[in-house]
Amino acid sequence: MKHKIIVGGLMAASLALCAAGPVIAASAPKNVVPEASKSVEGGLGVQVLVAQSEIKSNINPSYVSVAMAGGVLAALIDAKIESDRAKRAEMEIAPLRTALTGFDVDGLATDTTKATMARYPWLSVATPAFGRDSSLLGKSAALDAAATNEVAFFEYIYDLAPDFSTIRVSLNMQFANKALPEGKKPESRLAPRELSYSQTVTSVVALPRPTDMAGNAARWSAGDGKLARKALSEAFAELAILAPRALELSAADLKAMSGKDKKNTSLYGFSGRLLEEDDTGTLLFNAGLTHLETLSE
Amino acid sequence: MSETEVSGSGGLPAGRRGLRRRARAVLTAGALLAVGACAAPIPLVLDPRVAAPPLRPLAKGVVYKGCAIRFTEVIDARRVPETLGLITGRAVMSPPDSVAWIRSALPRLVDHGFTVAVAEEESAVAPVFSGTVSLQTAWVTNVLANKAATVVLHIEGQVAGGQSITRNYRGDLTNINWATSDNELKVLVDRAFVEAIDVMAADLRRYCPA
Repeated sequence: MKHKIIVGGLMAASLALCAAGPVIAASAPKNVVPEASKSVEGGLGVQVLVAQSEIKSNINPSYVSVAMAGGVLAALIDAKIESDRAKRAEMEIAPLRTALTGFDVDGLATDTTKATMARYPWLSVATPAFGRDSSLLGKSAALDAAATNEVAFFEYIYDLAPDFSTIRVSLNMQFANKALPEGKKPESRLAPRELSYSQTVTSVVALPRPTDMAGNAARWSAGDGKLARKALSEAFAELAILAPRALELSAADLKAMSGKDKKNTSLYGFSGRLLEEDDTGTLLFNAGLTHLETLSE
Repeated sequence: MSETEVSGSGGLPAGRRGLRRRARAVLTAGALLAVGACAAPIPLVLDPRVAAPPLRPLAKGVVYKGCAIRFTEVIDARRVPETLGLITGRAVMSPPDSVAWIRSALPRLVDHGFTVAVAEEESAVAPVFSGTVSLQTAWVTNVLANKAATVVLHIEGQVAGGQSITRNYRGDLTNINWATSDNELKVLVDRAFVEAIDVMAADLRRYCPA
């Protein structure tokens, strides 16, 4: 029994580490579009990925194991606390998911991608493919199936903050080459070091005067999810602005954005160098671009 | 061998040596698990049939006389029927015949006391609901180290008396993701599916004759 618990704890811990992997990988410094990607014959093929059918919930991690300096027991306590939080979050989010039934977020993602594609002749003019399998093997299969030698993956995630005070939509753009590096597995083409470009832009829309999780959930859901629909629409509209901005950044721009003359700012759980601040919101640089605004009711 | 006996090679007491051996084994297992879990995981293709756990004894065996449901069509209305989503990087895929998969969950209504006719099957009595059933949503995701599945079934048709109805029935399940194993994920999706059917049964029961 004890052995089973230890192995179970290790498995859960391993999975948690793996889940954190892409976050770490996202900060890899490949966030300037290389000239080679702009001259691919036929343009880069584009694949839109939304690996979710409804808005995701989110929870704060438990840090008991950190406070107790590790140990299996602490890991199990963390697992239990996080499980309870996840169950509560999934329960509280259900009315919002029901309220958003029929709201075409996949369509918003496709339209946002198309708007970006229209600006750059080096992106294929063909209608982007749409899929839900954003796993390494799924992307690798999409690469194999692509008619072009390089594919731009536009991967979207939309979710709620752990206290449901904000709706966040992020877009991770990854350019991957179809050619297989010698002696490597096909999915290695998606490894951060093999990508020719990777950048994340995020749009955060906050509920005005948020309260607690249940109160915020009720407000997002009211009137067939009126506020949530508005927030999602605004967030995707903002991504349509941020994506081209990110794609046009040079190495010098990136250096300037992370300069010490830019004030470090935290807002709605996001931190970064303050780039812009006006009536429409705040723009931070935190390896990627993050725009934060409060919804007008 | 006593606890204080020393070994020829390590020079450690046997008890401590045992502990060290165990610790090493656990660390090795942990490292292997970590490496294994981080390798591109093979997608899981769900079984062609939804496996329903038995109903609680009180509910099982109850038959509602004359309470028939007729599904004129079973539809998979998902935008991407092939994929349910990812759990810790592992894709979960629908079985190849997704309509048969949806259909396999409907006998759960029989467990609830209904008689069910699908498509060309004839209903012995006038059904209390006649119309289509579609799978609107079936998706999985992880919430930190937890896994969650949601299934939404949509019905559209007429109830006894001719009134038109459209309804969505939601099944949700969340629990700790221990190992992203085949069985864990299959049970997760099946239970969410069954929950959606159970909600449907509870709703349609009110149209049954008293």
